[in-house]
Amino acid sequence: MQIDDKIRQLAKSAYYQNLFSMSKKCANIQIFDNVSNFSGLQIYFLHWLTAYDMLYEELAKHEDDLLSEDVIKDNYRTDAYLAYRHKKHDYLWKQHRREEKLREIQDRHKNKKNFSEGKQSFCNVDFRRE
Amino acid sequence: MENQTSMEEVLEELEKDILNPELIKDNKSIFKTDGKSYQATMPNQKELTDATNIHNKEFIKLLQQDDTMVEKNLIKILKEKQGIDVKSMQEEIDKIEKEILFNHIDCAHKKDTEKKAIEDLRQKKEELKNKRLKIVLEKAGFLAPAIEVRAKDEYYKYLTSCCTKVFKAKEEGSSEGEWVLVWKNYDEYCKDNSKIAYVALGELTNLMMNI
Repeated sequence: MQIDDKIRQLAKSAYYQNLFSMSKKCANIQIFDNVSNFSGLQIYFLHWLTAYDMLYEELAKHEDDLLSEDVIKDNYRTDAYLAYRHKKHDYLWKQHRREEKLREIQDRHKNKKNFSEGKQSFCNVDFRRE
Repeated sequence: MENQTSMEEVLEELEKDILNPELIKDNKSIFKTDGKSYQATMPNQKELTDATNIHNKEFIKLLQQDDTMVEKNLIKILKEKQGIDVKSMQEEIDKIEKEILFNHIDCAHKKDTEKKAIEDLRQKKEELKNKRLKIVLEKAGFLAPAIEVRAKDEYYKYLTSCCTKVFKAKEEGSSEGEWVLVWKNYDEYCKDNSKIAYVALGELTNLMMNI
């Protein structure tokens, strides 16, 4: 078993997942013996601990049909799902930004129209003679 | 330090430790070689600063030598004199990474019941990964003489020299004892041609994971 698989196996284990969720509620619970100067392996482990915590939570909420327990059990399928999830969120974020931009343009047009009809000014400068 | 230990032996030793369930318990890694227990510890701030100084010193020393080259120039020479295109190797690596991403997205859409399709994709990914690894290793081999790479090697060697300890039992067979440094200083580490010098280097880089 490769080091990567070993770390992930530990991170998705019930023991560490429970420990992790308890540590979020109770500050006294420590995951490691050391509290600072974490090794690269420990940081990598924390990365997967968080990732699996998120996946288990999404699985419980049935947020996505493509996520199942079998997916979490299988490292390759987990990688695949996370890549898809990242792209999906990326797509949703871009779509959200596009919609925001569109709203901005629409608002600007609306303001322009109002301005040309003499309803609204674009700036606060008062050009009247003193 | 000449490479007198076979790569297989070193990898075998590293593989043994990978099965250690205590991998993440603390910032140390315990491993056994030739019947002795060793410990690689995470370097502290002082050791990291010293290692950076060693790295910088080596970098400047190599810069002043005639037969050395920085990575950028090495890439240029490799292309001009030997026809080896490192940049196109990187492009190939990027292309494979994109293919792996598409493979992942494809797999993510498969249902649990589509076992055959998932296995086919898994196999395809393994092929892509192996292809990528081959190019990465080839590229690393070509760039190994670069000043940057050689200075970075010194950095890790220095850290290995000051972060590897061996267990000295009070009496033979006793579990009581203490952890003592394997090498008194960096020079002593550099003179050591035994297997432990290479295994310890591998253990430390594993532990640090380039952090």
